[in-house]
Amino acid sequence: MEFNENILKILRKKDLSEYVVATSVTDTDQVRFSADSKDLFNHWSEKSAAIFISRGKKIFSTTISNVEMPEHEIDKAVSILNTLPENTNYMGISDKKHSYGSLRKFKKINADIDEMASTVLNSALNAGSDRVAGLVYNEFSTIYLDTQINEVEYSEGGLHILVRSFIGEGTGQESSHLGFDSKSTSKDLEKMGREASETAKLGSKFSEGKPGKYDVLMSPYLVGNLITYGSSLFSAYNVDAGMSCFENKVGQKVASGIVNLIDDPLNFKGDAAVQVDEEATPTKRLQMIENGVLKTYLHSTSTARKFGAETTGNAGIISPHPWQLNMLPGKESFDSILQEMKKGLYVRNAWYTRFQDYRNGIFSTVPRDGIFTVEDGEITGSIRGIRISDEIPRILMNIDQVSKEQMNVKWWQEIHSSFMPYVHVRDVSISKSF
Amino acid sequence: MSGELCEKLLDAAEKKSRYAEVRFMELEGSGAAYRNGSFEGAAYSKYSGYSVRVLNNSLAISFSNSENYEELLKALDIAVRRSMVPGKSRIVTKSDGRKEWVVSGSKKVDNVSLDDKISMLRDNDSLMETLGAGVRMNYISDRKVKQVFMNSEGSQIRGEFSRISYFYFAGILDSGEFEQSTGEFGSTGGYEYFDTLNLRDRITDDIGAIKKAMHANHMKPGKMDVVIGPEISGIVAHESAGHPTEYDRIVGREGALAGESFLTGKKLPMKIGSGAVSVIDDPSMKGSYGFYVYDDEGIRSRKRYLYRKGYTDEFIHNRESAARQGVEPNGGGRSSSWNMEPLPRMSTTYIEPGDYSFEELVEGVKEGVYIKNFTEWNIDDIRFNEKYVGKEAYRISNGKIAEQIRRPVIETNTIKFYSAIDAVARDMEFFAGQCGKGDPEQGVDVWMGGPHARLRDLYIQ
Repeated sequence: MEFNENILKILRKKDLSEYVVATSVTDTDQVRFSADSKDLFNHWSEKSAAIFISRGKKIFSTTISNVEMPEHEIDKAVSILNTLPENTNYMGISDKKHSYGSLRKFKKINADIDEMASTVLNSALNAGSDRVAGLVYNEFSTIYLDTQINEVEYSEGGLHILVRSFIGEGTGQESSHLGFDSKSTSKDLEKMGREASETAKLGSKFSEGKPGKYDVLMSPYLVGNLITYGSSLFSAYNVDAGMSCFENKVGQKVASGIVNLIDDPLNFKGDAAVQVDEEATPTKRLQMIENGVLKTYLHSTSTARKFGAETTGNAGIISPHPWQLNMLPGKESFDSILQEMKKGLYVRNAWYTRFQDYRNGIFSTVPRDGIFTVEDGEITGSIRGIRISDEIPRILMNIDQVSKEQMNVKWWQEIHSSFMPYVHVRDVSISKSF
Repeated sequence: MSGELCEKLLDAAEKKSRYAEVRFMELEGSGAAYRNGSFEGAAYSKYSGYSVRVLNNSLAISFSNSENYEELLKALDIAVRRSMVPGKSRIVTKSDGRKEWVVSGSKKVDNVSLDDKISMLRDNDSLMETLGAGVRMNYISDRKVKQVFMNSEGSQIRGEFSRISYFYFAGILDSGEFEQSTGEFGSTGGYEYFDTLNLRDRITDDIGAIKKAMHANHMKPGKMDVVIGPEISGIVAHESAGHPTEYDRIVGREGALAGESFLTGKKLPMKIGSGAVSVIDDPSMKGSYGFYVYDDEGIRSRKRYLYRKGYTDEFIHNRESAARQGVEPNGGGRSSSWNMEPLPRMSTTYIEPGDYSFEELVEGVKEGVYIKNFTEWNIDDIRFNEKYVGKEAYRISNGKIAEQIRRPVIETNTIKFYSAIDAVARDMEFFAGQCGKGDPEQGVDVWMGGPHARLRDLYIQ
């Protein structure tokens, strides 16, 4: 590809087995706000090249920002490659020639993020928030990707809106992501601000939670958080490393029969949609869990060859990862799930999920932004000071209801862009601070 | 290429703004990894760029890694145009003059071969395997940083430093039971730091301890006296003293991300614990992983008491948060890269050492627990409700260390934790970490650690 030609000319002379050059050109804007006004505007204009090279089983990666004059860095990379030991786990990148004829083209979304920030901020303030914090992003990158046999240009990006409301000690948060096929109206933004404020108001009067086993209605944010942290357990890299509770579980039941989880990279309603993986394999909708049964790990060409499988289009060449997870909707409405609850908790969100045992998926996470008690189908109060301290496999198996409503959820590093429903989980272990 | 366009860009920026800054950073890093007996790969990156921050009716920053002046002017114009929109517009504009600083250590990053680094990883991997760890990951990395800061008040700070780090993960599987451990070490300077660590002994002790922990019993929950090790006193100081005293959190600027602080809206100073407790954050601690002479906003670094004798004291500030409180910035403005805004950040955070020996702390406990270090941990976003799960821990009986126990849990709140401390040891030990904040999230290098400490009557699960 012409854009990468400077780099490719040099690489072709180096007697390499394989190479991947991914030059990204980024044009991103952000507005941040807190209290009752805007804090800062940020603009990013960046160009950098991520280069992967191999000679047999010797591999090396480098990232350079001096894209116009890359000779020195590439010479250095190749000289280092020569001295390296082999990576015996490395099985090569894709050797399939692709045409990419059906790739969609996009431009940066035309959005007034200042106006969007004002709308969501004022909506939350008008709904009674003591103070508000949040941001609006408009992200856009074009990636020029070349391997020794493939070349492709594609775009990524979208809008991300985040608002958090504070009323007394109550907090509420709403957060969304919009891809190239989504549209946001000022009514949607007003609704986000209003709902964040309503959650904060409900949480402003609270009592201390009690430890024990609870049925928990998890909002799409909480489901997104747990799935985000749990998603590395599906990567063939982590399975191979002995770091996954899903080792030897392909074809087996790993979740309740009503759970269907897919990787949904071609869904451009979300901002993490991507058409090509990091070794130029076209991505695809991938069924990861079907009716509770684990169908596949996430693979690059290298991990797939090691496992005797096919790439799933999820490279990371060394460590595959999901793009945009989607827990498919169920049959029940949120209202009906809530109304059927005899006694339990409705938890809106969580953060700081940490594992004490990756192998068995033992973790805890700190609920926030709405922790409500439920009795006889009604929200009866708000609590604080609790943790979900449980195991990922047990939570997946104990899901007994999935809502038909879904939300585009994304928040910071805690929730990767995904589409999640509400789920009802039996017998969740709750601990608390003493 | 090392920021030649800074002055020219600043000239242009100050003509279009009430106040302007230009930053340049070049980060040159390399790393290697070893996993389960196999070399995993190596990486190298060299990444540089400019940020220009302007103040008019509000603050705006443009980040660009172009070395073309015309492109940088376009980026500046975007920031200037946006800074005309109303918004918060307070920032301390002072200058610390023209200064240069360099820290590269005695065993410089450029003088240590990749072969030597890989050998270290291979040796540690082999050692872990010998010790029975079936899951093993070893990473080594180093980074050289060149930075320039200039502002329209005459500040011109040039700094160069290097940092090194080593991280391992080890896991032991036995009859369905699994125990895992991580170790993270780092320093600002060169590879001489690793010569002082006795890493092989540390790894041997650590894996030996988790192996025994797998077959140890859990404690009966209840209130008891607790002696905590440096790793725990360090993570507690970082999480529940350092984070809540970052002033941008107190005023809500991080509210939708890393959160606010339990100090938000409180009358300050506020009593947070016993008079035996003071917590310090000190970027001027030489050799520490969070060391720097000038922060990323050109402000001289210095030691700060976050808590002093049980009360809140000073807060961590960058230029913007200092203006919000009406004080001088205190060298806490850190940025992980040229394309990240400087935020109030920690460096090396620790409980101030006391007069006790470790043995004296234990002798003062009739029945209790010694929790040496931790595995899982987390804390709520106002930095109040926190949990630390013990990795290596022992029962204490009649003032003596008794049998090993498995995964005791401290799950408490900040006030209760610091109020329970009655004695602090004079020993100190530090560990490296990455602290995340901001959006885009930026991790900065920090040291956590400190002395052993004793807590009375804490509930252990």
